[in-house]
Amino acid sequence: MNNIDLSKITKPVESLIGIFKFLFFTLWGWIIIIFILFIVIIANSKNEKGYFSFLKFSSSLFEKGFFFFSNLFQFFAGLIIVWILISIQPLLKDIQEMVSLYKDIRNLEMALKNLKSERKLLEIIPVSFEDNEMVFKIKYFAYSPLKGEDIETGERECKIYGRKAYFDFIVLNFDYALIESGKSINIAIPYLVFSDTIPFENGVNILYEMEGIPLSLKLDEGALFLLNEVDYKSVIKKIMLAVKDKSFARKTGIRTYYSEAIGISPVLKKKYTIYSTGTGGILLK
Amino acid sequence: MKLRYFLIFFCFIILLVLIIYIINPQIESFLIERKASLENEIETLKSEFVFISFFVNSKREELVDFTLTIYGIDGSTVDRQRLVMDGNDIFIESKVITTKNNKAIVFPIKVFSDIIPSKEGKSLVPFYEKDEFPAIYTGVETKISNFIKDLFEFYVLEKNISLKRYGLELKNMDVVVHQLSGNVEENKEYECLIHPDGSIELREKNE
Repeated sequence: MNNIDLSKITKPVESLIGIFKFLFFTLWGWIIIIFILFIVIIANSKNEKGYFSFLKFSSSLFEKGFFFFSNLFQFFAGLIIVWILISIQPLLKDIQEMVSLYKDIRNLEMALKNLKSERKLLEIIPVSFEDNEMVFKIKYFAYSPLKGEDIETGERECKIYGRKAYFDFIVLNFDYALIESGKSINIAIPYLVFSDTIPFENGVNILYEMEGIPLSLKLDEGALFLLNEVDYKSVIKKIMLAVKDKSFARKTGIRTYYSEAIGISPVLKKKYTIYSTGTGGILLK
Repeated sequence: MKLRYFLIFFCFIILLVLIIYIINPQIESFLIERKASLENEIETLKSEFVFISFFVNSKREELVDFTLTIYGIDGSTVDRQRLVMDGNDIFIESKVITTKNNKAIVFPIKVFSDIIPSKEGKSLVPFYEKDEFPAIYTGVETKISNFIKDLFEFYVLEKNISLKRYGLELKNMDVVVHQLSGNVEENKEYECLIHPDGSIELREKNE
């Protein structure tokens, strides 16, 4: 396809061009035209009685001659239009293929964008570290479909003993097809904090559930899109059900679900931000 | 006047057809290349490296007996260990280092449980460290191998070496994965995998 194939244009009209060339660019062609014209003129040269009339012949000769030469331009133009129409057919097919390729590319670009997308979940700032007790200020974020950005849903403080804190998340990764099409986004819900000295079973709860909605998913009606608050709550409750029920999770298109924690050895006042990713799982930035 | 407009229109059509014919192959070739590049980028993003798996041999009250396998980047088994640990769930901690161009390196650090804190967990490093090199990455080309060795020494062995000479913006994080239910199940195998962007997943094998 890299070379221009002009034969594609000319091939369908080669025979037409051949006739055209013979008629107008050879002696025999002109003889045939003149002969046909002559027949037509002779046929129109009879008087009322059916005999040949010189007067009729000369008027017919001028009339047909004038008609022929005055319509030559339309004749050429018509030939060229026919030529264009015929040669445009393969071009239209190519254009159709290009449109289809372009659509594929748009879909792939969207899929890539969705896979690369990152949603802010938590901002963690260590505010004090005394007597082996770590104190963190935690800001929660949720994705607002209406605003198209991650908005803060609340702020809490958390204390735990140790030198390294692990912020544990419930992670629900949807099938790639759902992520790529933008129908779903992977979900990660902050759940618990444990440390290098405090095991998971004695960890501090950071879910902050209210009416079955975790703080990290709590959006006001103003931040929702196409859903009212009641419908949104029902969606969240379904998500929370998927957390507890494996078969229900599968039915809703969840690919993998597990818990994932990010370990932080705190540096005072430093901001740690945790994101969920389109490919699955969470990242610290 | 009408003839003039017709001629202009006529020439315009001919010119348009010719232009489309001339640029069409270039556009098509560009679109095909772009599509292939996007497909490749998506496949790379979705690609995964399973670096650890563990099979739960038995599980009694707060005691898990499991076989842990560490894999190399080529899929080979680097080491296999049978371990017994107090608890109901197995926690795998790893150090993940990512570069700006979505290249992630993973080093498994330790294994602990829901009742054993990470400080008292079992280190996984001796299982794959061979002459201060992470055997997970054996077989990679020398230049990358030196870089990985330096990363391993700096982030895992905590040696005082400089990584500035690589001129890369590196990010690191400690990631722990475990079961959502807080319980591993007997006779089931679980695997940890990492994506090129550094995100880690845990899944039941053959899920």
